[in-house]
Amino acid sequence: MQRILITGSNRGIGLELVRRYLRREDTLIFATCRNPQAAAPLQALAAQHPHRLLILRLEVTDAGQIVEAVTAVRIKVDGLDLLINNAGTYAGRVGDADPQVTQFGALEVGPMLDMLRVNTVAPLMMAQAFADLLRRGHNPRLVNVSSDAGSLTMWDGGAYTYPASKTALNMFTRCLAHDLRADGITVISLHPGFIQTDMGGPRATLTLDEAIPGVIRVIDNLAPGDSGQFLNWDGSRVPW
Amino acid sequence: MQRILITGSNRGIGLELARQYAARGAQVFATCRDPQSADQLHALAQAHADRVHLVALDTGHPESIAEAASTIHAQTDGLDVLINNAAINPRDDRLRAFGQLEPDPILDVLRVNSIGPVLVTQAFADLLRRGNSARVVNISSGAGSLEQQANGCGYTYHASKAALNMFTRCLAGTLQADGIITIVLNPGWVKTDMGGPNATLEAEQSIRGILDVIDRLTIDDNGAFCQWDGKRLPW
Ligand SMILES: NC(=O)c1ccc[n+]([C@@H]2O[C@H](COP(=O)([O-])OP(=O)(O)OC[C@H]3O[C@@H](n4cnc5c(N)ncnc54)[C@H](OP(=O)(O)O)[C@@H]3O)[C@@H](O)[C@H]2O)c1
Ligand SMILES: NC(=O)c1ccc[n+]([C@@H]2O[C@H](COP(=O)([O-])OP(=O)(O)OC[C@H]3O[C@@H](n4cnc5c(N)ncnc54)[C@H](OP(=O)(O)O)[C@@H]3O)[C@@H](O)[C@H]2O)c1
Repeated sequence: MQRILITGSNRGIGLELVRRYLRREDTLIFATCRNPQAAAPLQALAAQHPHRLLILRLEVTDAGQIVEAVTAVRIKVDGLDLLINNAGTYAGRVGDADPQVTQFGALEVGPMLDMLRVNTVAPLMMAQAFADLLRRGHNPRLVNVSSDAGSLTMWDGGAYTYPASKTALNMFTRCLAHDLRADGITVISLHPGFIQTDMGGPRATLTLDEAIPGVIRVIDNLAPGDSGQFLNWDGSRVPW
Repeated sequence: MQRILITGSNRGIGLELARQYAARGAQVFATCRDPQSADQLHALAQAHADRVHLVALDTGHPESIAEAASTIHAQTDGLDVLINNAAINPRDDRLRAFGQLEPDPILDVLRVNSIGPVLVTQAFADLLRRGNSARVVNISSGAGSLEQQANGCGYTYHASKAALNMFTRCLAGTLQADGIITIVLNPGWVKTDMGGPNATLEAEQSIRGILDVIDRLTIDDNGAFCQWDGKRLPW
Protein backbone atom coordinates (compact mmCIF):
# COMPACT_ATOMS: atom_id res chain seq x y z
CA MET A 1 0.00 0.00 0.00
CA GLN A 2 1.52 3.30 -1.10
CA ARG A 3 0.47 6.19 1.14
CA ILE A 4 0.37 9.48 -0.73
CA LEU A 5 -0.44 13.06 0.22
CA ILE A 6 -1.10 15.67 -2.47
CA THR A 7 -1.72 19.38 -1.84
CA GLY A 8 -3.96 21.53 -4.03
CA SER A 9 -5.77 18.43 -5.25
CA ASN A 10 -9.21 19.87 -6.03
CA ARG A 11 -8.38 20.87 -9.60
CA GLY A 12 -5.70 20.93 -12.28
CA ILE A 13 -2.60 18.80 -11.88
CA GLY A 14 -3.37 17.86 -8.28
CA LEU A 15 -6.79 16.44 -9.15
CA GLU A 16 -5.42 14.49 -12.10
CA LEU A 17 -2.70 13.00 -9.89
CA VAL A 18 -5.38 11.86 -7.44
CA ARG A 19 -7.41 10.26 -10.26
CA ARG A 20 -4.46 8.40 -11.68
CA TYR A 21 -3.06 7.19 -8.37
CA LEU A 22 -6.55 5.96 -7.43
CA ARG A 23 -6.55 3.70 -10.49
CA ARG A 24 -3.87 1.68 -8.76
CA GLU A 25 -5.43 -0.73 -6.27
CA ASP A 26 -2.70 -0.41 -3.67
CA THR A 27 -2.83 3.29 -2.86
CA LEU A 28 -4.16 5.31 0.04
CA ILE A 29 -4.50 8.95 -0.87
CA PHE A 30 -4.75 12.01 1.33
CA ALA A 31 -6.09 14.63 -1.03
CA THR A 32 -5.83 18.06 0.50
CA CYS A 33 -7.47 21.27 -0.64
CA ARG A 34 -8.52 24.60 0.79
CA ASN A 35 -12.23 24.05 0.63
CA PRO A 36 -13.34 20.37 0.66
CA GLN A 37 -17.05 21.31 0.65
CA ALA A 38 -16.67 22.98 -2.72
CA ALA A 39 -14.45 20.25 -4.21
CA ALA A 40 -17.15 18.37 -6.14
CA PRO A 41 -14.85 16.20 -8.32
CA LEU A 42 -12.88 15.11 -5.27
CA GLN A 43 -16.08 14.36 -3.33
CA ALA A 44 -17.30 12.22 -6.22
CA LEU A 45 -14.03 10.26 -6.25
CA ALA A 46 -14.22 9.80 -2.46
CA ALA A 47 -17.73 8.43 -2.78
CA GLN A 48 -16.41 5.78 -5.19
CA HIS A 49 -13.33 4.98 -3.11
CA PRO A 50 -14.28 5.69 0.51
CA HIS A 51 -11.45 3.57 1.94
CA ARG A 52 -8.65 4.78 -0.29
CA LEU A 53 -9.32 8.49 -0.62
CA LEU A 54 -9.45 10.90 2.29
CA ILE A 55 -10.09 14.57 1.72
CA LEU A 56 -8.41 16.93 4.18
CA ARG A 57 -8.79 20.65 4.49
CA LEU A 58 -5.47 22.40 3.97
CA GLU A 59 -4.65 25.98 3.19
CA VAL A 60 -0.90 25.42 2.83
CA THR A 61 0.06 28.81 4.27
CA ASP A 62 -1.85 28.12 7.49
CA ALA A 63 0.48 26.63 10.10
CA GLY A 64 -2.45 25.51 12.25
CA GLN A 65 -4.06 23.64 9.37
CA ILE A 66 -0.76 21.92 8.59
CA VAL A 67 -0.66 20.63 12.15
CA GLU A 68 -4.26 19.43 11.84
CA ALA A 69 -3.43 17.65 8.58
CA VAL A 70 -0.48 15.86 10.18
CA THR A 71 -2.73 14.76 13.04
CA ALA A 72 -5.41 13.53 10.65
CA VAL A 73 -2.89 11.53 8.63
CA ARG A 74 -1.33 10.02 11.79
CA ILE A 75 -4.71 8.67 12.87
CA LYS A 76 -4.79 6.58 9.69
CA VAL A 77 -1.18 5.61 9.02
CA ASP A 78 2.15 5.45 10.79
CA GLY A 79 4.17 6.47 7.76
CA LEU A 80 3.90 8.37 4.49
CA ASP A 81 5.56 7.15 1.29
CA LEU A 82 5.02 10.12 -1.01
CA LEU A 83 4.35 13.80 -0.38
CA ILE A 84 3.59 15.91 -3.44
CA ASN A 85 3.77 19.64 -2.80
CA ASN A 86 1.61 20.61 -5.75
CA ALA A 87 -0.39 23.62 -4.55
CA GLY A 88 0.83 26.78 -6.19
CA THR A 89 -0.32 30.10 -7.55
CA TYR A 90 0.41 32.25 -10.60
CA ALA A 91 -1.89 35.06 -9.39
CA GLY A 92 -3.86 34.59 -12.57
CA ARG A 93 -2.99 32.53 -15.59
CA VAL A 94 0.10 32.41 -17.77
CA GLY A 95 0.14 35.54 -19.91
CA ASP A 96 -2.63 37.18 -17.91
CA ALA A 97 -1.58 37.56 -14.30
CA ASP A 98 -1.70 40.26 -11.65
CA PRO A 99 0.69 43.06 -12.76
CA GLN A 100 1.65 43.61 -9.12
CA VAL A 101 3.66 40.39 -9.26
CA THR A 102 4.54 40.19 -12.95
CA GLN A 103 5.08 43.64 -14.41
CA PHE A 104 8.07 45.90 -13.91
CA GLY A 105 6.70 49.30 -12.95
CA ALA A 106 3.73 47.82 -11.11
CA LEU A 107 5.50 45.41 -8.73
CA GLU A 108 4.32 45.55 -5.10
CA VAL A 109 5.99 43.95 -2.13
CA GLY A 110 2.78 42.67 -0.47
CA PRO A 111 1.46 40.58 -3.37
CA MET A 112 5.00 39.41 -4.15
CA LEU A 113 5.45 38.12 -0.60
CA ASP A 114 2.02 36.47 -0.74
CA MET A 115 3.12 34.48 -3.79
CA LEU A 116 6.43 33.47 -2.20
CA ARG A 117 4.52 32.35 0.89
CA VAL A 118 2.46 29.88 -1.15
CA ASN A 119 4.92 28.70 -3.80
CA THR A 120 8.21 28.73 -1.89
CA VAL A 121 7.78 28.75 1.87
CA ALA A 122 4.69 26.52 2.22
CA PRO A 123 6.32 23.47 0.56
CA LEU A 124 9.21 23.85 3.00
CA MET A 125 6.83 24.00 5.96
CA MET A 126 4.99 20.93 4.64
CA ALA A 127 8.28 19.05 4.33
CA GLN A 128 9.18 19.97 7.88
CA ALA A 129 5.78 19.00 9.30
CA PHE A 130 5.59 15.66 7.47
CA ALA A 131 9.26 14.69 7.82
CA ASP A 132 8.57 12.31 10.70
CA LEU A 133 5.85 10.47 8.77
CA LEU A 134 8.09 10.33 5.69
CA ARG A 135 10.95 8.92 7.77
CA ARG A 136 8.67 6.03 8.65
CA GLY A 137 7.55 5.55 5.03
CA HIS A 138 8.68 2.90 2.53
CA ASN A 139 11.13 4.28 0.02
CA PRO A 140 9.88 7.78 0.89
CA ARG A 141 9.80 10.57 -1.69
CA LEU A 142 9.16 14.26 -1.44
CA VAL A 143 8.22 15.93 -4.72
CA ASN A 144 8.15 19.72 -4.97
CA VAL A 145 6.18 20.70 -8.05
CA SER A 146 8.33 23.44 -9.48
CA SER A 147 8.40 24.83 -13.02
CA ASP A 148 10.87 25.28 -15.83
CA ALA A 149 9.94 28.96 -15.48
CA GLY A 150 12.21 28.77 -12.42
CA SER A 151 15.18 27.63 -14.50
CA LEU A 152 17.77 30.42 -14.57
CA THR A 153 19.42 28.79 -17.58
CA MET A 154 16.24 28.54 -19.65
CA TRP A 155 14.91 31.94 -18.64
CA ASP A 156 13.21 33.48 -21.67
CA GLY A 157 11.38 36.59 -20.56
CA GLY A 158 9.46 35.23 -17.60
CA ALA A 159 7.47 37.32 -15.27
CA TYR A 160 9.33 38.18 -12.08
CA THR A 161 7.72 36.71 -8.98
CA TYR A 162 6.45 33.34 -10.21
CA PRO A 163 9.79 32.30 -11.72
CA ALA A 164 11.69 33.63 -8.68
CA SER A 165 9.33 31.72 -6.36
CA LYS A 166 10.19 28.47 -8.17
CA THR A 167 13.94 29.19 -8.28
CA ALA A 168 13.85 29.72 -4.52
CA LEU A 169 11.80 26.52 -4.13
CA ASN A 170 14.50 24.70 -6.07
CA MET A 171 17.07 25.93 -3.58
CA PHE A 172 14.92 24.55 -0.75
CA THR A 173 14.82 21.23 -2.64
CA ARG A 174 18.65 21.25 -2.64
CA CYS A 175 18.78 21.99 1.10
CA LEU A 176 16.10 19.39 1.93
CA ALA A 177 17.74 16.71 -0.20
CA HIS A 178 20.88 17.06 1.84
CA ASP A 179 19.23 17.21 5.26
CA LEU A 180 16.90 14.25 4.56
CA ARG A 181 19.40 12.01 2.76
CA ALA A 182 20.41 10.23 5.96
CA ASP A 183 16.74 9.35 6.51
CA GLY A 184 16.51 7.81 3.06
CA ILE A 185 14.06 10.43 1.80
CA THR A 186 14.49 11.31 -1.88
CA VAL A 187 13.65 14.96 -2.58
CA ILE A 188 13.25 16.47 -6.04
CA SER A 189 11.90 19.49 -7.86
CA LEU A 190 9.70 18.47 -10.77
CA HIS A 191 8.53 20.38 -13.84
CA PRO A 192 5.17 18.81 -14.74
CA GLY A 193 5.11 20.18 -18.30
CA PHE A 194 3.26 23.21 -19.67
CA ILE A 195 -0.26 21.90 -19.15
CA GLN A 196 -3.75 23.11 -19.97
CA THR A 197 -5.14 23.85 -16.51
CA ASP A 198 -6.63 27.01 -15.04
CA MET A 199 -3.04 28.14 -14.54
CA GLY A 200 -1.52 26.98 -17.81
CA GLY A 201 -4.44 28.27 -19.86
CA PRO A 202 -5.76 26.94 -23.17
CA ARG A 203 -2.56 27.68 -25.09
CA ALA A 204 -0.42 25.38 -22.95
CA THR A 205 1.28 22.68 -25.02
CA LEU A 206 0.16 19.57 -23.11
CA THR A 207 -3.07 18.09 -21.85
CA LEU A 208 -3.27 16.55 -18.39
CA ASP A 209 -3.70 13.16 -20.10
CA GLU A 210 -0.43 13.62 -21.94
CA ALA A 211 1.67 14.92 -19.08
CA ILE A 212 0.50 13.32 -15.83
CA PRO A 213 1.33 9.69 -16.75
CA GLY A 214 4.87 10.97 -17.37
CA VAL A 215 4.93 12.75 -14.02
CA ILE A 216 3.87 9.54 -12.26
CA ARG A 217 6.46 7.49 -14.15
CA VAL A 218 9.22 9.90 -13.11
CA ILE A 219 8.13 9.63 -9.47
CA ASP A 220 7.91 5.79 -9.69
CA ASN A 221 11.42 5.62 -11.07
CA LEU A 222 13.09 7.90 -8.54
CA ALA A 223 16.29 6.54 -7.04
CA PRO A 224 18.22 7.98 -4.10
CA GLY A 225 20.78 9.31 -6.58
CA ASP A 226 18.12 11.60 -8.01
CA SER A 227 17.73 13.43 -4.72
CA GLY A 228 18.34 17.16 -5.04
CA GLN A 229 17.71 17.16 -8.81
CA PHE A 230 15.34 19.17 -10.97
CA LEU A 231 13.52 16.71 -13.25
CA ASN A 232 11.24 17.18 -16.19
CA TRP A 233 7.95 15.25 -16.65
CA ASP A 234 9.63 13.14 -19.34
CA GLY A 235 12.44 12.11 -16.98
CA SER A 236 15.09 14.42 -18.43
CA ARG A 237 16.88 16.95 -16.28
CA VAL A 238 15.94 20.60 -16.23
CA PRO A 239 19.05 22.80 -16.03
CA TRP A 240 19.24 25.10 -13.01
CA MET B 1 31.23 62.40 -13.63
CA GLN B 2 29.75 58.96 -12.95
CA ARG B 3 26.68 58.97 -10.74
CA ILE B 4 26.45 55.94 -8.44
CA LEU B 5 23.73 54.79 -6.06
CA ILE B 6 24.60 52.18 -3.44
CA THR B 7 22.27 50.58 -0.88
CA GLY B 8 23.52 49.49 2.55
CA SER B 9 26.59 51.69 2.24
CA ASN B 10 27.22 52.43 5.92
CA ARG B 11 29.44 49.40 6.51
CA GLY B 12 31.01 46.37 4.92
CA ILE B 13 31.08 45.98 1.16
CA GLY B 14 28.71 48.91 0.60
CA LEU B 15 30.94 51.31 2.51
CA GLU B 16 34.04 50.23 0.60
CA LEU B 17 32.13 50.63 -2.68
CA ALA B 18 31.23 54.19 -1.66
CA ARG B 19 34.86 54.90 -0.70
CA GLN B 20 36.39 53.63 -3.92
CA TYR B 21 33.84 55.32 -6.17
CA ALA B 22 34.29 58.57 -4.25
CA ALA B 23 38.08 58.25 -4.46
CA ARG B 24 37.95 58.11 -8.24
CA GLY B 25 35.81 61.17 -8.54
CA ALA B 26 32.29 59.79 -8.88
CA GLN B 27 29.19 61.35 -7.43
CA VAL B 28 27.93 58.87 -4.84
CA PHE B 29 24.43 58.58 -3.45
CA ALA B 30 25.39 56.60 -0.38
CA THR B 31 22.18 55.23 1.06
CA CYS B 32 21.62 53.41 4.32
CA ARG B 33 18.87 52.75 6.83
CA ASP B 34 20.03 55.24 9.41
CA PRO B 35 22.27 58.05 8.11
CA GLN B 36 22.37 59.66 11.58
CA SER B 37 24.49 56.88 13.01
CA ALA B 38 26.58 56.25 9.87
CA ASP B 39 29.80 57.77 11.22
CA GLN B 40 32.12 56.42 8.56
CA LEU B 41 29.86 57.66 5.78
CA HIS B 42 29.77 61.08 7.38
CA ALA B 43 33.57 61.13 7.40
CA LEU B 44 33.55 60.14 3.72
CA ALA B 45 31.02 62.84 2.91
CA GLN B 46 33.17 65.40 4.69
CA ALA B 47 36.21 64.41 2.67
CA HIS B 48 34.24 64.71 -0.60
CA ALA B 49 31.74 67.35 0.44
CA ASP B 50 30.15 68.07 -2.92
CA ARG B 51 30.12 64.52 -4.25
CA VAL B 52 29.01 62.13 -1.49
CA HIS B 53 25.38 62.43 -0.45
CA LEU B 54 23.91 60.47 2.45
CA VAL B 55 20.32 59.43 1.86
CA ALA B 56 18.05 57.33 4.09
CA LEU B 57 16.85 54.18 2.32
CA ASP B 58 15.51 51.02 3.94
CA THR B 59 15.19 48.49 1.11
CA GLY B 60 12.57 46.49 3.02
CA HIS B 61 10.05 49.35 3.03
CA PRO B 62 8.42 50.77 -0.12
CA GLU B 63 7.70 54.14 1.57
CA SER B 64 11.37 54.54 2.40
CA ILE B 65 12.35 53.62 -1.17
CA ALA B 66 9.86 56.18 -2.51
CA GLU B 67 11.18 58.90 -0.21
CA ALA B 68 14.77 58.22 -1.20
CA ALA B 69 13.75 58.28 -4.86
CA SER B 70 12.15 61.70 -4.53
CA THR B 71 15.18 63.04 -2.61
CA ILE B 72 17.60 61.77 -5.25
CA HIS B 73 15.41 62.89 -8.16
CA ALA B 74 15.82 66.40 -6.79
CA GLN B 75 19.62 66.07 -6.85
CA THR B 76 20.38 64.45 -10.20
CA ASP B 77 18.76 63.93 -13.57
CA GLY B 78 20.40 60.57 -14.22
CA LEU B 79 22.14 57.59 -12.63
CA ASP B 80 24.92 55.55 -14.24
CA VAL B 81 25.36 52.70 -11.75
CA LEU B 82 22.90 51.27 -9.23
CA ILE B 83 24.41 48.78 -6.80
CA ASN B 84 21.85 46.80 -4.83
CA ASN B 85 24.15 45.72 -2.03
CA ALA B 86 22.00 45.72 1.13
CA ALA B 87 21.16 42.28 2.51
CA ILE B 88 20.77 40.39 5.75
CA ASN B 89 21.88 36.95 6.89
CA PRO B 90 20.70 36.68 10.50
CA ARG B 91 22.08 33.86 12.64
CA ASP B 92 18.64 32.57 13.49
CA ASP B 93 17.64 28.90 13.58
CA ARG B 94 14.17 29.82 12.31
CA LEU B 95 15.86 30.60 8.98
CA ARG B 96 18.35 27.80 8.64
CA ALA B 97 17.71 24.79 10.89
CA PHE B 98 15.39 22.09 9.54
CA GLY B 99 12.87 21.38 12.28
CA GLN B 100 12.84 24.98 13.48
CA LEU B 101 12.01 26.84 10.25
CA GLU B 102 9.27 29.49 10.45
CA PRO B 103 7.51 31.29 7.58
CA ASP B 104 7.48 34.90 8.78
CA PRO B 105 11.20 35.24 9.55
CA ILE B 106 11.96 33.54 6.21
CA LEU B 107 9.73 36.00 4.34
CA ASP B 108 11.38 38.94 6.13
CA VAL B 109 14.71 37.89 4.61
CA LEU B 110 13.20 37.38 1.15
CA ARG B 111 11.68 40.86 1.41
CA VAL B 112 15.07 42.51 1.95
CA ASN B 113 17.41 40.26 -0.06
CA SER B 114 15.26 39.31 -3.05
CA ILE B 115 12.41 41.80 -3.44
CA GLY B 116 14.24 44.91 -2.14
CA PRO B 117 16.63 45.11 -5.11
CA VAL B 118 13.73 44.77 -7.58
CA LEU B 119 11.73 47.54 -5.94
CA VAL B 120 14.76 49.83 -5.70
CA THR B 121 15.52 49.25 -9.38
CA GLN B 122 11.89 49.95 -10.23
CA ALA B 123 11.95 53.23 -8.28
CA PHE B 124 15.14 54.44 -9.99
CA ALA B 125 14.50 53.05 -13.48
CA ASP B 126 13.70 56.45 -15.01
CA LEU B 127 16.97 57.92 -13.68
CA LEU B 128 18.87 54.90 -14.98
CA ARG B 129 17.24 55.32 -18.40
CA ARG B 130 18.66 58.84 -18.44
CA GLY B 131 22.12 57.66 -17.34
CA ASN B 132 25.19 57.06 -19.51
CA SER B 133 25.22 53.34 -20.44
CA ALA B 134 23.69 52.58 -17.08
CA ARG B 135 24.36 49.40 -15.13
CA VAL B 136 22.40 47.65 -12.41
CA VAL B 137 24.54 45.42 -10.20
CA ASN B 138 22.76 43.15 -7.76
CA ILE B 139 25.10 41.79 -5.13
CA SER B 140 24.32 38.10 -4.84
CA SER B 141 26.50 35.31 -3.46
CA GLY B 142 27.96 31.94 -4.32
CA ALA B 143 25.36 30.75 -1.79
CA GLY B 144 22.75 31.53 -4.46
CA SER B 145 24.24 29.09 -6.96
CA LEU B 146 22.01 25.99 -7.12
CA GLU B 147 24.78 24.11 -8.88
CA GLN B 148 27.13 24.68 -5.95
CA GLN B 149 24.76 23.53 -3.20
CA ALA B 150 25.15 19.76 -3.53
CA ASN B 151 26.34 19.37 0.06
CA GLY B 152 23.74 21.15 2.06
CA CYS B 153 22.79 24.74 2.52
CA GLY B 154 21.31 27.17 4.96
CA TYR B 155 17.83 27.42 3.41
CA THR B 156 16.75 31.05 3.64
CA TYR B 157 19.85 33.06 2.75
CA HIS B 158 20.63 30.67 -0.11
CA ALA B 159 17.08 30.74 -1.44
CA SER B 160 16.96 34.54 -1.13
CA LYS B 161 20.00 34.86 -3.38
CA ALA B 162 18.72 32.26 -5.86
CA ALA B 163 15.49 34.26 -6.09
CA LEU B 164 17.50 37.46 -6.51
CA ASN B 165 19.33 35.80 -9.40
CA MET B 166 16.01 35.07 -11.12
CA PHE B 167 14.68 38.56 -10.46
CA THR B 168 17.89 39.87 -11.98
CA ARG B 169 17.37 37.84 -15.14
CA CYS B 170 13.88 39.31 -15.37
CA LEU B 171 15.27 42.84 -14.85
CA ALA B 172 17.94 42.20 -17.46
CA GLY B 173 15.23 41.25 -19.92
CA THR B 174 13.11 44.30 -19.13
CA LEU B 175 15.88 46.92 -19.07
CA GLN B 176 17.86 45.72 -22.07
CA ALA B 177 15.61 47.72 -24.40
CA ASP B 178 16.76 50.88 -22.60
CA GLY B 179 20.43 49.99 -23.07
CA ILE B 180 20.84 49.18 -19.38
CA ILE B 181 23.04 46.20 -18.47
CA THR B 182 21.95 44.23 -15.41
CA ILE B 183 24.00 41.54 -13.65
CA VAL B 184 24.27 39.61 -10.41
CA LEU B 185 27.66 39.69 -8.79
CA ASN B 186 29.35 37.53 -6.18
CA PRO B 187 31.76 39.70 -4.15
CA GLY B 188 33.69 36.68 -2.88
CA TRP B 189 34.14 35.83 0.78
CA VAL B 190 34.90 39.23 2.27
CA LYS B 191 35.93 40.28 5.80
CA THR B 192 32.86 42.21 6.92
CA ASP B 193 30.36 41.81 9.76
CA MET B 194 28.58 39.27 7.55
CA GLY B 195 31.64 37.55 6.10
CA GLY B 196 33.37 37.28 9.49
CA PRO B 197 37.09 37.44 10.33
CA ASN B 198 38.01 34.17 8.57
CA ALA B 199 36.96 35.43 5.15
CA THR B 200 39.61 35.18 2.47
CA LEU B 201 39.33 38.68 0.99
CA GLU B 202 39.84 42.18 2.30
CA ALA B 203 37.03 44.49 1.25
CA GLU B 204 39.59 46.70 -0.49
CA GLN B 205 40.64 43.88 -2.84
CA SER B 206 37.14 42.55 -3.58
CA ILE B 207 35.79 46.01 -4.34
CA ARG B 208 38.73 46.93 -6.56
CA GLY B 209 37.85 43.83 -8.59
CA ILE B 210 34.14 44.68 -8.58
CA LEU B 211 34.73 48.19 -9.96
CA ASP B 212 36.84 46.70 -12.70
CA VAL B 213 34.14 44.14 -13.57
CA ILE B 214 31.49 46.89 -13.68
CA ASP B 215 33.71 49.14 -15.86
CA ARG B 216 34.17 46.36 -18.41
CA LEU B 217 30.57 45.17 -18.70
CA THR B 218 29.24 44.75 -22.22
CA ILE B 219 25.83 43.79 -23.51
CA ASP B 220 27.03 40.15 -23.67
CA ASP B 221 27.15 40.20 -19.88
CA ASN B 222 23.52 41.23 -19.53
CA GLY B 223 21.79 38.88 -17.08
CA ALA B 224 25.02 37.04 -16.16
CA PHE B 225 26.26 35.77 -12.79
CA CYS B 226 29.64 37.49 -12.45
CA GLN B 227 32.24 37.35 -9.74
CA TRP B 228 34.54 40.03 -8.25
CA ASP B 229 37.56 38.62 -10.10
CA GLY B 230 35.92 38.55 -13.52
CA LYS B 231 35.01 34.84 -13.46
CA ARG B 232 31.50 33.60 -14.15
CA LEU B 233 29.50 31.45 -11.76
CA PRO B 234 27.17 28.58 -12.71
CA TRP B 235 23.50 28.97 -11.89
N1 LIG C 1 -0.11 24.17 -15.54
C1 LIG C 1 1.13 24.34 -15.88
O1 LIG C 1 1.43 24.52 -17.08
C2 LIG C 1 2.24 24.28 -14.87
C3 LIG C 1 3.56 24.35 -15.35
C4 LIG C 1 4.61 24.30 -14.44
C5 LIG C 1 4.34 24.15 -13.09
N2 LIG C 1 3.05 24.10 -12.64
C6 LIG C 1 2.83 23.94 -11.20
O2 LIG C 1 1.98 22.86 -10.95
C7 LIG C 1 1.23 23.06 -9.75
C8 LIG C 1 -0.26 22.89 -10.01
O3 LIG C 1 -0.61 23.77 -11.06
P1 LIG C 1 -2.00 23.70 -11.85
O4 LIG C 1 -1.67 23.97 -13.27
O5 LIG C 1 -2.74 22.49 -11.46
O6 LIG C 1 -2.68 25.03 -11.26
P2 LIG C 1 -4.21 25.36 -10.95
O7 LIG C 1 -5.06 24.68 -11.93
O8 LIG C 1 -4.25 26.84 -10.85
O9 LIG C 1 -4.43 24.72 -9.51
C9 LIG C 1 -3.72 25.21 -8.42
C10 LIG C 1 -4.07 24.38 -7.22
O10 LIG C 1 -3.29 24.88 -6.10
C11 LIG C 1 -4.23 25.18 -5.07
N3 LIG C 1 -3.74 26.26 -4.22
C12 LIG C 1 -3.34 27.49 -4.57
N4 LIG C 1 -3.01 28.21 -3.49
C13 LIG C 1 -3.21 27.40 -2.43
C14 LIG C 1 -3.04 27.54 -1.04
N5 LIG C 1 -2.60 28.70 -0.51
N6 LIG C 1 -3.32 26.49 -0.22
C15 LIG C 1 -3.76 25.34 -0.74
N7 LIG C 1 -3.94 25.14 -2.05
C16 LIG C 1 -3.67 26.16 -2.87
C17 LIG C 1 -5.49 25.56 -5.78
O11 LIG C 1 -6.56 25.49 -4.87
P3 LIG C 1 -7.88 26.45 -4.99
O12 LIG C 1 -8.80 25.78 -5.96
O13 LIG C 1 -8.39 26.52 -3.60
O14 LIG C 1 -7.40 27.79 -5.51
C18 LIG C 1 -5.54 24.49 -6.85
O15 LIG C 1 -5.95 23.27 -6.31
C19 LIG C 1 1.59 24.46 -9.27
O16 LIG C 1 2.59 24.35 -8.29
C20 LIG C 1 2.15 25.11 -10.53
O17 LIG C 1 3.04 26.16 -10.23
C21 LIG C 1 2.00 24.17 -13.51
N1 LIG D 1 30.83 39.36 3.18
C1 LIG D 1 30.78 38.32 2.40
O1 LIG D 1 31.61 37.43 2.49
C2 LIG D 1 29.71 38.21 1.36
C3 LIG D 1 29.75 37.10 0.51
C4 LIG D 1 28.79 36.97 -0.49
C5 LIG D 1 27.84 37.95 -0.63
N2 LIG D 1 27.80 39.03 0.22
C6 LIG D 1 26.77 40.03 -0.02
O2 LIG D 1 27.37 41.31 -0.07
C7 LIG D 1 26.44 42.31 0.36
C8 LIG D 1 27.06 43.15 1.47
O3 LIG D 1 27.42 42.28 2.52
P1 LIG D 1 28.41 42.70 3.70
O4 LIG D 1 29.35 41.59 3.88
O5 LIG D 1 28.90 44.05 3.51
O6 LIG D 1 27.35 42.64 4.91
P2 LIG D 1 27.25 43.49 6.25
O7 LIG D 1 28.61 43.87 6.70
O8 LIG D 1 26.38 42.70 7.14
O9 LIG D 1 26.47 44.81 5.76
C9 LIG D 1 25.19 44.71 5.30
C10 LIG D 1 24.72 46.07 4.88
O10 LIG D 1 23.38 45.96 4.40
C11 LIG D 1 22.59 46.89 5.10
N3 LIG D 1 21.20 46.50 5.20
C12 LIG D 1 20.66 45.39 5.72
N4 LIG D 1 19.32 45.42 5.64
C13 LIG D 1 19.01 46.59 5.06
C14 LIG D 1 17.80 47.23 4.70
N5 LIG D 1 16.60 46.65 4.94
N6 LIG D 1 17.84 48.44 4.10
C15 LIG D 1 19.02 49.03 3.85
N7 LIG D 1 20.20 48.49 4.19
C16 LIG D 1 20.19 47.30 4.79
C17 LIG D 1 23.24 47.01 6.46
O11 LIG D 1 22.78 48.18 7.08
P3 LIG D 1 22.62 48.30 8.71
O12 LIG D 1 23.97 48.74 9.21
O13 LIG D 1 21.55 49.31 8.87
O14 LIG D 1 22.25 46.94 9.23
C18 LIG D 1 24.69 47.05 6.04
O15 LIG D 1 25.02 48.32 5.56
C19 LIG D 1 25.20 41.54 0.78
O16 LIG D 1 24.30 41.50 -0.30
C20 LIG D 1 25.73 40.15 1.05
O17 LIG D 1 24.72 39.16 0.93
C21 LIG D 1 28.72 39.16 1.21
